[in-house]
Amino acid sequence: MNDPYFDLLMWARGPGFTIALVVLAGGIILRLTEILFLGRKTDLAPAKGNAVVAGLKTIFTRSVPREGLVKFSPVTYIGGYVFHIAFFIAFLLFGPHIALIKSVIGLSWPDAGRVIIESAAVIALVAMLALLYSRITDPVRRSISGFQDYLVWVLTVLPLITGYIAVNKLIGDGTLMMALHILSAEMLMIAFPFTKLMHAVTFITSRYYNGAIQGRKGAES
Amino acid sequence: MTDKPMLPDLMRAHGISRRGFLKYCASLTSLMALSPAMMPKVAYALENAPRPSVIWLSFQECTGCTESLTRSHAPTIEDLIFNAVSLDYHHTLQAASGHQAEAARTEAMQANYGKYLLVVDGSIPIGDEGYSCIAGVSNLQMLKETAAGAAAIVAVGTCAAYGGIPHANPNPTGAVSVSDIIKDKPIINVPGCPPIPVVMTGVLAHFLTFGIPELDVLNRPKAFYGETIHDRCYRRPFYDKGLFAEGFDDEGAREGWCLYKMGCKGPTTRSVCATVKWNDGTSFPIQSGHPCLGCTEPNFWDNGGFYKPLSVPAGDYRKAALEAIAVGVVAGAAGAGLARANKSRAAKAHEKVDAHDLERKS
Amino acid sequence: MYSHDSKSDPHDPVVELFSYVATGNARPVLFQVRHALAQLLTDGTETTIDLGAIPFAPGDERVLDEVLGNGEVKATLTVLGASHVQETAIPGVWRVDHFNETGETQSRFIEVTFMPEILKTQREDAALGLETLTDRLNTTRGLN
Repeated sequence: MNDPYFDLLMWARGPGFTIALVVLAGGIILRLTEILFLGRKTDLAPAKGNAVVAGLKTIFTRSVPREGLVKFSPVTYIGGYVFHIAFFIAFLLFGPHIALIKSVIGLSWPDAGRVIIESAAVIALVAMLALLYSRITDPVRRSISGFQDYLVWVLTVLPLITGYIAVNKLIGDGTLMMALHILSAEMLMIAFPFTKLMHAVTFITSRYYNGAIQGRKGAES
Repeated sequence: MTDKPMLPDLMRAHGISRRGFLKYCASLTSLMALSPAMMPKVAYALENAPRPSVIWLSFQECTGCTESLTRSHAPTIEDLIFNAVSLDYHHTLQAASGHQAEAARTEAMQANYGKYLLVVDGSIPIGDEGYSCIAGVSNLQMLKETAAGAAAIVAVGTCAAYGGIPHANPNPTGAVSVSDIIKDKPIINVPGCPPIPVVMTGVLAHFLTFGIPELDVLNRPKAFYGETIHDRCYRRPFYDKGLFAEGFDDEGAREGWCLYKMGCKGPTTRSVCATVKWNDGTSFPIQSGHPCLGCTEPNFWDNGGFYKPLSVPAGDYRKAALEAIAVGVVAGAAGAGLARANKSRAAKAHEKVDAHDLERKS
Repeated sequence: MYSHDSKSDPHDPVVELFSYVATGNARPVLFQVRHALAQLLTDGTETTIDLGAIPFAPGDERVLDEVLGNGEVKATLTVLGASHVQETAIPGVWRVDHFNETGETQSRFIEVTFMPEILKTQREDAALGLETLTDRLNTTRGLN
């Protein structure tokens, strides 16, 4: 006799994770290698500033929005920051997640209490709803949004919702919700290299290149 | 049907007053997790229901379940329960052996056909029936024969309920559970490796007084398998505060913090170990500092390892991931090389780039 | 009140500290007892509350002891081990605790009644008692 929910959980923990990790790791490395090997067109003009220093500096300075931009589109910036910070708290500071990361890459750090994790998850969810609302109601944003944008939104929100439900045993069987949570995270991992989620990795290269190009010209970035 | 004394008469014969019988019923009602208002019904059932015949078959097992049930230093409720039944066959506990014992079994089966309770512990090998036989009769055959006339079957222990340790990878004997073989009789699964003694007797007591208890999807009595260990664990406040033991002898372990990171399967395991505990309420694995193994759930031997936390992948992913990274580097370099070749060819041919090219999703 | 767990030493500082840990479940139980007592006075309905069914930490027992206290009647039964029956300082509210031969707790109840059933002599036992007394009188000669 078998418990189908536990069997699903074991599949998610076993072959499911292997598949997701292969696609995630292989995909990121593939695209990153492509980007680095493609390089940039050589600038034949004489250098007026230091490209490398400017490039590295820009990686960090771009984290602060330019003056006037927050007032111009507050939901995007505030919602974006709130979502990212809350998501990282919920993902990186929860004990079971830290155990997972320690198993994969060997690093670990102190855990936070469940109250903090759950509050962060809810805040992240609220931010996501605000961002979706802004995307749908603003005519420009709506017209430039495609299937991929909405897909990524769903894939990002699912682990937050399923995780919260699983830990609190809100609905359904606890083991099933845990399995669904792990599966939703694996779907996110598989979609990662093929969608704009790659920004989590490519923000470094894109900010560097922008900074380096401008820096070489001696211009502000 | 043999003329067996009722439990109250049996108690009086042992010098126990009716007051004693009432005390026994009060404790039994509490044990069965029933409301005290049900106590008169329990007393009535024990006084009036005839002692059922019980046949206990032990198959491919370690005898731990029988041991767990009979561990007592003084006459306990367990003893008295077994006085309330007529244990007509138990090849570990009975004095008779050989042909006489088997004859006693067949006689009890015939005399009580359709009414006896069959208790099974141990899994049944079907890979080769010869793996486990009693008096020359294979377990499979004996189970089918004996189940035919049973009123109900109680599968005691994880081996009988789900296959247990013999069923674990690679299952060399083809071990299966009682439910995999018998499909036409009510089966109560009482899993655990072994089950807690009071759970076993509580289930038997319930069957004697009220019949089959309410069962969950895995046919376990909800009274004893309704809640997970995690939801009743006294270390839960530490889980909620993010305080975990990271080793067996670190500060966290000594302070009694949550054992999730040591591989505790409490969140997915349903059992009463955290409240009823073991050895008459002395302790249970987590209280003694060891993570829960999840022994009341199917396939607990194959759930990725006792010391691997539930959130950690159980498969062999490292090798595959490293290979994927290697392939990614090669494929990425090849892709970039192709793109560059394309670019230089286009530049040589003086191809123009317009706005539509930028929109193109290649 | 008496210690339920024969293994715990009330003078041990850890045990003493732990005896303040409470789940908060004592208060609802006490309200339930109050309701039951009102019911007893209205129409004579008796109520039994199984303390084993409610998650209780030692701190909750402490609250129970403080609010209910000890009353005028205390009885010890010797049958299948010891049983302690104590009327609390709230008349009509009794504590009935059953132990087995080795002193381990079997069940704990709060009974709201005019007389706990277990204290009363059972008819069957009295019938047996009549036989026993008759026997003894027959074997004793010349009562003077």
